[in-house]
Amino acid sequence: MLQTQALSKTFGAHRALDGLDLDIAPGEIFCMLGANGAGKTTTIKLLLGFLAPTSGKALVDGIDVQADPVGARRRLLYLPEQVALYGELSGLENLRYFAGLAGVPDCTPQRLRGWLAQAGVPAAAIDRRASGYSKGMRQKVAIALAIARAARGLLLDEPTSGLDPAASAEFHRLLLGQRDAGAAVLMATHDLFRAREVATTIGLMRDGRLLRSFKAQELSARELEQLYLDEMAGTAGV
Amino acid sequence: MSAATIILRTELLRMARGRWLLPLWLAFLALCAYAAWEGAAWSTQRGAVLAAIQAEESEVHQMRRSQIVNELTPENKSRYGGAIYATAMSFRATLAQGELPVLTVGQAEGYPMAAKIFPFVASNTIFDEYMAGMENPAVLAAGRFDLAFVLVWLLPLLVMAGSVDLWSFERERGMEPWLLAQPVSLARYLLAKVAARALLLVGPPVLMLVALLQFTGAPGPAALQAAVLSTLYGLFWLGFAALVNLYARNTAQAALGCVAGWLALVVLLPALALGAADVFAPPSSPAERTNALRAMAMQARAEVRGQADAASRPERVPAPNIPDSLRKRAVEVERGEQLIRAAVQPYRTQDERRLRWMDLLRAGSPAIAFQDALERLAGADAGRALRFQDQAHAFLLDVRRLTQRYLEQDRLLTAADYDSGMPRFVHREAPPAERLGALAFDAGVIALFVMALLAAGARRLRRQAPLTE
Repeated sequence: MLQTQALSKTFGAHRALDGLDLDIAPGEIFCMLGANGAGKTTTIKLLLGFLAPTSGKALVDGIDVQADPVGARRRLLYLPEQVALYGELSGLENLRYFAGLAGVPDCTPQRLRGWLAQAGVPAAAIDRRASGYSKGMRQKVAIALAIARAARGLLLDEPTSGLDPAASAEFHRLLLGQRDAGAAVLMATHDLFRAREVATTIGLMRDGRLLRSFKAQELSARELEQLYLDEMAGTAGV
Repeated sequence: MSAATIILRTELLRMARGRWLLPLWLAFLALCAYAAWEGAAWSTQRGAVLAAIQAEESEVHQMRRSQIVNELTPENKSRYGGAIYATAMSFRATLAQGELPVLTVGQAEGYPMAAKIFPFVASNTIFDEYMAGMENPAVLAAGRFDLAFVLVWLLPLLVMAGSVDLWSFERERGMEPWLLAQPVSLARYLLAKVAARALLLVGPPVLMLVALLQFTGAPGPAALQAAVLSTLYGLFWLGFAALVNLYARNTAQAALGCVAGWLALVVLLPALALGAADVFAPPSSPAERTNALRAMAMQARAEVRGQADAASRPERVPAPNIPDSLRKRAVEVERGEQLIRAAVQPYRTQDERRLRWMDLLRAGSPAIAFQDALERLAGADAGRALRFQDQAHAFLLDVRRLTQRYLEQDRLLTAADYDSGMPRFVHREAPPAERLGALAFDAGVIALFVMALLAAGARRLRRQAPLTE
């Protein structure tokens, strides 16, 4: 569903991504771990068509993102670290707007309320202006959009950064629901422990390269942490 | 429902919920209403002046006719002379109000709008009497708070105040990636947002303008043309704000860009255009021209007097109905006129050259073209005022020819002459095709600027990935 083939991106002399090969199937959560500047966000931007690759290809459901970025985005839901909503609109109106843009049919108030409820937005907050929403609440509206769109691919860029533990746990519960619904998920995160809990596969990245990838359950949390630290320091396998 | 319609509808909702829209509308309405009231007052005042001048002409004719009835003998001979000579005929020429006089106090206010014409007046002095009577020149020089000012200067500010954050709002709040990740292109977002702002920031001011023009008694096709031009001008500024938003990283930068563009196009470029016209086609000096003409008039009088002294003839017996001194005066006037025509020609050529430059320079900024179009619609453009001057001069020549016939036939004016109708000055407007052509040129200039913005926007969108790399 989400594929990259020898995907590379350079900015001037800096190689931000170096020959990345990925293939994330429906129902799979791939967590990219790595320090800042490892190439996680660049990968997501390339899959969204925000950046043009220097070489290689990014494919979404077989669609070349460079050739048809809008077609690719039709199958994707992107969750940035900060989901920003229009403050003058209520949660329901924001969802109706974004779902409408994505071409979701029959956005009746009843269905919109249902999606928001599924995503955990309290009924009392649905008609309140989004300017008063917390970060967690805004993330939930984004999840409601994922539910409404039945998005086949989810690209998450550090979605739980800044969320309190309860909100983070709830977010991951919702994410697993999406996985179970058959979505292919690519998540960039710094949260090793959460990654191990929700991911099907974990990839470690450094300096634009995917150093290694493995099944999340192959390692304990402690082993994962050690491996991560070793890879980032360049001492793994020494 | 298409994505564009959804964006448009949501933008309208957001703007309607914003707290700034209603105060902006009300402020603009108040400014427009005040300017329209000012324009209407000025137009009424000017109309009254013109009516008084025309009434003055009728009164003089009536007075002359009464004098003739009292002074002419049954044999059509003069008892006392004077008023019944054709040389005593007196006329007035006035420049009628334009189609939308309330719109602007324009260039034409610097030109005369009325002339006093009698046979022996020197053609360069026919406008003198009414030049000072129309309006305070200091006020005219400073410019009035008229509708043209509100539209040319303040409409861009209204439009840009409401669209300065057209896209920078999303960029600044970090919404850009989230929005662009939806299956909608940036171009479509921008076009739909521009359409929403056109509906709420350009539409209402144009409707206010049309309503005020109706209210001040200036309906008709000219009001419609003013509305079309204002819409085009408003769209230009909306497009400008959208283009600035494509470059600005945040709203503060966008605001700076918008204000800089407004300063450049509305304030600096017109001033520079005027400066360029002064350099390449300077205006003629009124003082120099007046002095030259005065010298010519003196020369004419001296020449004619010399010729008269050389060929002095005995007084005719019986004396003619019209004294020969008036025939001498006619010769003197005619000679003076020949000299004046020759002296005036270089100044006239210089002024015409300047007018051609000014016509050309209006293509330099949409603000200049729009101001020019409004002045044409108001009938306050320099071209119309100069055409009036030409027509007044032509009327003076007609009056002189008529007088000459009376002198040649040694015929006094009679009541019947007045009863059968004296010539009257009628101002002829430029042919509709010429007027519409000039307006179309101005509209074309603004449309070209709009297209240039679209091209620049398309280029920016093509050359840059939606997010800064």
